Amino acid sequence: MIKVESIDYKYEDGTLALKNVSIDLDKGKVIGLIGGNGSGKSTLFLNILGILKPSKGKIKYNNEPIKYDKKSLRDYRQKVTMVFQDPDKQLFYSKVYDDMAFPLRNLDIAEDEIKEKVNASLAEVKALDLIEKPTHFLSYGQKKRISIGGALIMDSKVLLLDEPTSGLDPAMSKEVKSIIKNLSQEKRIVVSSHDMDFIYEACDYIYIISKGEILGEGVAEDVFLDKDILEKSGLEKPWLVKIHENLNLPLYKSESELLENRD
Amino acid sequence: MKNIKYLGLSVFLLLLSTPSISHGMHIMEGFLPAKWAIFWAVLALPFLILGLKNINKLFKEDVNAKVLLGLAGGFVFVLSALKIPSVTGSCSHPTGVGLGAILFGPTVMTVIGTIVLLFQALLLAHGGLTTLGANIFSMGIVGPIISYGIFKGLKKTNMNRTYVTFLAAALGNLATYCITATQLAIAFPDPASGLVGSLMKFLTVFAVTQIPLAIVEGLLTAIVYNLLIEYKEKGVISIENI
Amino acid sequence: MLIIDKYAYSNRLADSDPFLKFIVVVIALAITTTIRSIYINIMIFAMMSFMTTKVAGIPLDKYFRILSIPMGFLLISTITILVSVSKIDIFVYSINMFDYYIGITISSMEESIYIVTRVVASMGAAFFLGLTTPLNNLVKVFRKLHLPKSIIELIVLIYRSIFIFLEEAQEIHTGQELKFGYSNFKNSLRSTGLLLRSLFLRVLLRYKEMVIILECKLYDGEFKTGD
Repeated sequence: MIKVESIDYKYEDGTLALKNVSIDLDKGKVIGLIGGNGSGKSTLFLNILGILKPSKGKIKYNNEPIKYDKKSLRDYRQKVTMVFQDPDKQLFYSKVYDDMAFPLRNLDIAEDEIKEKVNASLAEVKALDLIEKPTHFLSYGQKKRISIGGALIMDSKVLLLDEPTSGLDPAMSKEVKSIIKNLSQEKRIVVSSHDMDFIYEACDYIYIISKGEILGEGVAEDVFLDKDILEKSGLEKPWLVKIHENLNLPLYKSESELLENRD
Repeated sequence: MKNIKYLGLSVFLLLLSTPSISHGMHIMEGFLPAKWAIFWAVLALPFLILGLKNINKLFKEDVNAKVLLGLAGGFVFVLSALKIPSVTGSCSHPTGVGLGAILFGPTVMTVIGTIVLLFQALLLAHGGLTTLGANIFSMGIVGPIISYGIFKGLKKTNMNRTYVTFLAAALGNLATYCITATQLAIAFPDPASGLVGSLMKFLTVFAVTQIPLAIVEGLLTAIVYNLLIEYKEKGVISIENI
Repeated sequence: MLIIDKYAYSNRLADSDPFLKFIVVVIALAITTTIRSIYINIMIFAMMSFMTTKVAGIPLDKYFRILSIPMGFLLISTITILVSVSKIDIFVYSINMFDYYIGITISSMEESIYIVTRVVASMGAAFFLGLTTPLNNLVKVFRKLHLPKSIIELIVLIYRSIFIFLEEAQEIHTGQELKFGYSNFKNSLRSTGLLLRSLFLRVLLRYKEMVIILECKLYDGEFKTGD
């Protein structure tokens, strides 16, 4: 659906934040974007969203380059949306319901339809019980789920998630991972994370970005077995890959697979 | 990004001009009888209306100004919830309206100040709903205007910016307390010495806490100003020189 | 940290009609500030505190702690009004110092009693509103009263950002305290200055980021609310 074609992105002061970056979101249902801090992940996301405009190259949606006039962007952003890392920055109202309803009200959707959608989205992130709560009484994990819900409500075709599990305890992390898994059945997902185990298990295709350039890409299993790329990008190996390499076990895709095949 | 500089500038000046709303003297709930409560509210109203007009104009020009003002308002309120270090050891709470936008004008600050005062009354038990008018007048109108005026006036001279900031903040704060004392004196004239006598009483009694507070306010604002300039020189933020 | 806000959401009257509460409090405040009657004021305070503590369920000790917040002002101001200085002895009680009499007149005594009862009654009423009505509900009242739209939007936005900055301020403060940032006056001054600078910068940073996110959420200039 979305193709990033050889884009460069320059900051105001001239430094190149992205160099010749190409991404094809059709390569997988859940695409992982991994790289260290400052590697350009957020800048790339902002380019995909049309918030930033590449200095060279194009962003294409369904093979059409995106247009940057107000109306086109408005339409485009109903098709692609993002969950940012810090939930507090995405909660504008002090009532969960109002915050969820915000984008729909901007689209002048009728209130009763809004009610349905808010309920549905909150149910998807298992936060229906929080619907009437004031946002400032929510825990970090709850806020994180609400911010995902707030993006889901836009019913976009593509969903970008920046570090969805950062700051979460293991239980909540697991919750979020399963939410993402469910979502991947209807939407194209792009996720960035430092959690290599999560990326390995959740993603089918991976891009590695470092200092604004794509170092490598490929199917999850291949990428993580490539020693050179991993060294160059300074990334950790997922534990399932480690045990495959060091304990002579086959390469499993997930913990459950490993446990099923133990004998 | 020119926009952020522009707005950053005004919010910055907001910070400097008057720490009145956060650290002024609130007249507490119910202290003023209806006659005076209404009098000051009526007096404050035209400023509020003017401020509202300017705010609407501003919002029309820039849809994001709302967000910035919302954040600035939260900032001013939190300032007032903090405890200011005080020489005497008693705890005082800042008023923080210093953020009088030179761009927006002190009238916009009046609107923000009013909302912050409302929240102070409802959430912190500082000030009051009946005394909102009087407090708006002293802390949201006179204070910012004085600080803003001093700042703008001295800006043309060669005086060191840090001193200007100190004076603008401290004197604005002092002006607030003088107005409050006047409001109280008018409402409660002294049986022996009348209005003037009452004014003297209140000024004297409150001077004990308010004068040190005004000085600390001024110092703080000047310190923050310097710290921001430090960051500006290191290129962390871009604020144009006023 | 904002204990009044916490109670506003968790008390037994949190969901009751905010408009009703508002009217009751407005009427009470009108009475306390216009009618000079000690007894009526005391009655109003009794009613309001009863509703706040027994009906709404605010614990009595916390209630009185909140009431005591502005007491310093009440004490000092009332004494200031009570005591006068005059060359002629017009006083009921007085002491003589040099050429002057410092004392209390009958009228200032009366006035002070009215002030104290008026203040306490008004506080009872205002705090009833503040302690039992969550701000989100109060906003409904504002809308019904047709307060200007921009002001209501600002109220909602400011309310939200208050909590964001409170949390940040507390974190910064705690961090500084652990490093002895508030051990003496000079340090406190400097630490507070640093805290203010951080908060101020965060205003600008958050603004930048919120603008981006608002675009993603199709913000068109209005922060609409349902009703």
